Amino acid sequence: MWQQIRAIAWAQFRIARNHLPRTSVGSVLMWMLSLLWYGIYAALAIVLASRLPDTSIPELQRWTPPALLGVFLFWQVVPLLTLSTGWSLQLNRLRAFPVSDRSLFGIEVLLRLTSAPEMILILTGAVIGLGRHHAVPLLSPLFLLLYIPFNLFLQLAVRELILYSFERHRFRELFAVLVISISVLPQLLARTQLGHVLRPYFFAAARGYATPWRVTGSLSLGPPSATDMILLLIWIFAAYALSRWQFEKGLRHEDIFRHSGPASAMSAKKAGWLDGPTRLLKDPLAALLQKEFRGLLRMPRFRVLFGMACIFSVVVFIPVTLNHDIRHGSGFVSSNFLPIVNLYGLLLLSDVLLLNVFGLDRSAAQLYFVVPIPLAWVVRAKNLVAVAFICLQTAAVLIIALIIRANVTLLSALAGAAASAVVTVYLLALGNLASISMARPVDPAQTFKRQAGARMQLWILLCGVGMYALVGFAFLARWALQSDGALLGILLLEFAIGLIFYHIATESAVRRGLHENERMLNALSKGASPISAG
Amino acid sequence: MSAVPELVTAVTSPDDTPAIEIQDLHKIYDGVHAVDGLSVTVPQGCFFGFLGPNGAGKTTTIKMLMGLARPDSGSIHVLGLPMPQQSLDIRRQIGPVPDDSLLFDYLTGGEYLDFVARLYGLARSSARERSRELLELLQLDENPRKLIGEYSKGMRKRVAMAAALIHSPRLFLMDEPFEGVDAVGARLMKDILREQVHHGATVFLTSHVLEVVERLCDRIAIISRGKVIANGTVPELRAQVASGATTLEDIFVQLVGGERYSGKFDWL
Repeated sequence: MWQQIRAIAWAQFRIARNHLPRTSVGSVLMWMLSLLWYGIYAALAIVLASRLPDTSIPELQRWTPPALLGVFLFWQVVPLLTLSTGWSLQLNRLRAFPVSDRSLFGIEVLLRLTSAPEMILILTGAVIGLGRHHAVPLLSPLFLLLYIPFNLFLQLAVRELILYSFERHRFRELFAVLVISISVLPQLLARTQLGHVLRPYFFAAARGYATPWRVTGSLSLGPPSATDMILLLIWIFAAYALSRWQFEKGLRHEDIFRHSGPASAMSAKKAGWLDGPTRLLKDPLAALLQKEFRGLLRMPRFRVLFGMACIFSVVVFIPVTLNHDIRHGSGFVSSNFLPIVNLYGLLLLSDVLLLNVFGLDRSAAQLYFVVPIPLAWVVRAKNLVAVAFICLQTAAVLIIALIIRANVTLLSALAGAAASAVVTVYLLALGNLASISMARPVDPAQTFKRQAGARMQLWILLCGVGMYALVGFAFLARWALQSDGALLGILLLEFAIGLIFYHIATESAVRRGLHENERMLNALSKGASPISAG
Repeated sequence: MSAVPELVTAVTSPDDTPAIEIQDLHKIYDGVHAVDGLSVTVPQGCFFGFLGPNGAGKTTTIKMLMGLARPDSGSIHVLGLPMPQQSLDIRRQIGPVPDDSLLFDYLTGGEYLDFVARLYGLARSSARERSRELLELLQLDENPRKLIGEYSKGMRKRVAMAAALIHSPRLFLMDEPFEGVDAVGARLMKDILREQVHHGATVFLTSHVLEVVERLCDRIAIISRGKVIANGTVPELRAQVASGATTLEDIFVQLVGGERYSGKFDWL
């Protein structure tokens, strides 16, 4: 078993090493950003390691179970929020080889470490901190380490559940709505009156008898009781049994779901309604638009992403506004609800619709270079489709905001639409350049963001910062001049400049695409690895 | 089923201009010559086989013919037009089947053919009509709602073939067109291609199935390490090698050099 695990890990390492440009500035910067992110958690771990020895035992007994409940929630809920479950095995590529199910299960459990490495750091810090505590028995903190396999097993079960809920046609969208609902809970708890009401229940749950966080907390502070040890072992075994059951169920369903490619995608008959609007246009533009709409709408991940951009972006900002009166609020978020929500949704859509427009075509993008149509038409058609989806998202956000009676005025609706238009035109321009120079294949069956690669993720990050800077400048002008006209005027001016920029950037991207089509097509045809991004 | 004759009505009669004329073509990847001074001429109305061992430069050459790769030096003329200078005009007249997929997984076979036909400038009604006919001809019409992503490898090749046929091209550029296709499908595809050549079209194909090439092709070029090492009809090629070579496979192995397995390893 370990030999096979080592072989798979080695293959993955070699693929990653061969795939990544070794001197890429983007890769280096992304490594630095990752270091910064994990550095924050490492710093927290250091704080725990240094401060826990000075904390009294009653305080530790009070706070350890809620903290462990927090760790549990982070481990189990964060993958739901990001729709990304860390690295995982590409089972359809590995099952042809004589690798036992036990080995695959073992690797998959270990890969769950990648779903929340932050929590490993925190638990390590806590183990060291408690180990240094004079009143805590020396070996008791090691019980915290048993919390890791418990979470790993449970996370695997959750992951399998997510995966197969997404594969099932009828449950997929329903599941996405559930995920959205779950994601708002922490904010509701933290920021609203409802949170104050629910907080005691949270602590009651945290200190509930026989819960895994409670028994782990008790054991880690010592002295260990036999009952707690048995309870913790029962929890670990239950999580193991659940994950093993889910994993094996997943393996059994592998042939039915995953080997059938996009079989679970939208049935072909439902795309007929798209033919209507494109009848108004001439070929090849009409044909290209039709193909783009059909393709995107049949990709379950895209539909979920689009749904999130429409609904999640609204829902995620509701709790922020709840401390104010959402209808006539004076807070910044309340009074600028629509522009903020629009931009957040736009950011969710940007990496697949704007910044890597050939990604979902993968090697089929070759077609654009062998048929007698100018590449500029293809790029513009893809841009038009992106604009159509962004318009739909803006309209959906407006309708939802009206339904929930958020602070919607004519001015805020105009500002929201204008902010979206400004950001869209700049992202389209930059995206066209990036789509050619940083083309990367995107597997529609995997999380889009994780496939972007270091350079593209950095690009997305920079675009996000630039986007907020552009719109922020207009809001700054409104604040400085105390005039709504200034806000709209600046946005209009930025949009006009953006159109010129778009024209120049697109021309340049097309020229580069024609000149470097070979490099671009090679990048889009890159192969797969035994472990997927999640 | 009369779809084939209808499809080829637009094919013009052969003239003196070669379908493909390659002169001293070079392509270098990371310092390695993938194509190294390759020259070959393919007359119009010819069924031309382009053979070579793995890594000989076949796919690179066919990609340069399609405009998917840029030559480092040398010249390519396709149907009398220089590539890549007149790439757009050339693309209007070729039917490409590259080794990598040109297919979009989230379209049905019919939608894909309709899409490609419209990119070639066919009117919507005739695009739809030809798609339907080709799906029927290539036996892909059983489940019209099936997405291409659900197709088997052979079915994907058949759709790619149908897409190459849909605009009645004058020249077919095909990289391993029969790979993964069952005997019935391959027979059908060969019949269609023969019919196209009969009506004046030119087929330039690569294949590792030498029996198929021997039976189909009028002329054959064998390349090795980016260079043409033999060119001609099968009897002409036979004359270039030592006696005893009866099949194209024998000729090929003698020309490119190969070893026979003689039980070297005691564990195998």
